[in-house]
Amino acid sequence: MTWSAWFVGILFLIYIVTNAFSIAINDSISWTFIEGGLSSATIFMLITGILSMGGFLTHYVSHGITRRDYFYGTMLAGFSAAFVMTVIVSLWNLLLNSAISWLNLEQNLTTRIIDGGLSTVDGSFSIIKLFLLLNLFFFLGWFISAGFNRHWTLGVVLVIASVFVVIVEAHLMTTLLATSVFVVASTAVVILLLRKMTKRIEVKP
Amino acid sequence: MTIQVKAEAISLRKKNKQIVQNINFTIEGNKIVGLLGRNGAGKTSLLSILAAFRPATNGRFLLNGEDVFENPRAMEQIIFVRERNVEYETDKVSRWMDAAQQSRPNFDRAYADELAKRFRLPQDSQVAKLSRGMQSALHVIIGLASRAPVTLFDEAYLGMDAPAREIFYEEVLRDFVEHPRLIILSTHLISEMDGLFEEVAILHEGELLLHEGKEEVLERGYRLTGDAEAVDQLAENKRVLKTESLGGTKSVMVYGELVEKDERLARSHGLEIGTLSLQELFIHLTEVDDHE
Repeated sequence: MTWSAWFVGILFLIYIVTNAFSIAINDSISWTFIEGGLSSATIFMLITGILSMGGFLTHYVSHGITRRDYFYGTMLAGFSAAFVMTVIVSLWNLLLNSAISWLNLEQNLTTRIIDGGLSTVDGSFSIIKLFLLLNLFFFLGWFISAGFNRHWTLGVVLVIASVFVVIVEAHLMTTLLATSVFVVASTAVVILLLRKMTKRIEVKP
Repeated sequence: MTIQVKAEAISLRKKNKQIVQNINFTIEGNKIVGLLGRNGAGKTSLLSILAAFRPATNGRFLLNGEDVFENPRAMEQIIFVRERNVEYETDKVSRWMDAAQQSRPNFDRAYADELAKRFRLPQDSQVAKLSRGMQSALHVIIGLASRAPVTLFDEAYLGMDAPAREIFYEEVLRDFVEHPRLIILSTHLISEMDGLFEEVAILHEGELLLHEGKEEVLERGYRLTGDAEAVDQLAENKRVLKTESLGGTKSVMVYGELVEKDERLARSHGLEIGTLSLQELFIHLTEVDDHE
């Protein structure tokens, strides 16, 4: 959670700075905070997921926590981190947009930016998508490191599988419904496999 | 209820290599047990199975009749202290202790602080920046202060200097007396630690060579010292582990129980009968297979 707070904070700073530059140069803002959040926050969640299999597992098992409890705990933590990040990002977006309208900056901006997301759809599209994708990336990260934990070949296979899932999501799922169904389904499959893989996992002493 | 740890036919294979094979033993009641074995004998593997760090290929460990693996009631009662990689632990020592305190119901923070003072462990340093001996001290402190009913120390003293090891042995004994529990110490520093053990288990090449009270183990051998001729006569047809002579005096270490007849004979020749140390016996017992 502390890491997530740092992350969103730094992302916000980067957002302000890059846009200040781009306004100075082109007189326009090129990316919304949610879009920025989508691409970099997913990477953040991916890495958090990857870390879930290494040090954390050893730490908890060393303190007498079962793999089962660790699994459900981490799953919950993944969901909540995704949720909190989505909420914070949306709030900032709201705040920024009201600041923009309050400062009468609309004329400088395209509607896409003011919508806070993809032009054709309402803002909730991006928000739901952001939340679902954050979860997906977290569990993919965890999945990949669980693969490597067992054998490096399985790790490589799972990296390829994950890249495939993400490509399908990005290019074939065009509507909100399709994206949601696909992302939820693949997250569920990943979670099921993860539990199977980590049930008897060895903790290196 | 007395605590009971039972190993049932435990075997572990790693990539076609047999690490431990068909280990059976029962330890009952609060005591300090020494788990001895040479490098690679399977001590750490056996303890990791007991601590539920990994499943056994075959067999299982029972704590009070319940399988320990993935059993929250059992895992909560077992702590496994060993050397571990803390390269990436940026937390301060005190926070690291907080984490232990959260998950160990019997954790005694005041005692942990007191131990930190004794070991001169700075609580405001980052764990990753501690020296090797200090890292060991930290693990030992958590192991002792957690007061888990089953406490496993796997060569926990690695990297500690002699005074620190001395503090470790003292504290193990002192805290054991005040808060009795089952402590298993794996080691090959036998001569330093044999005073602590009540029972001894020796692992050799993945098999359990013996598991007995320390006194019984010590009765498996004796030392005869005195007139060289008399010593030779008595040691004949016996398994002699080591011979030392100085002038007309000879000293032999004999493996095997001292029978009454020999004892009488030795006394009549004015020979001195001494006991062997655990270390001497250990060296012999774990070497024996190489010769035969």
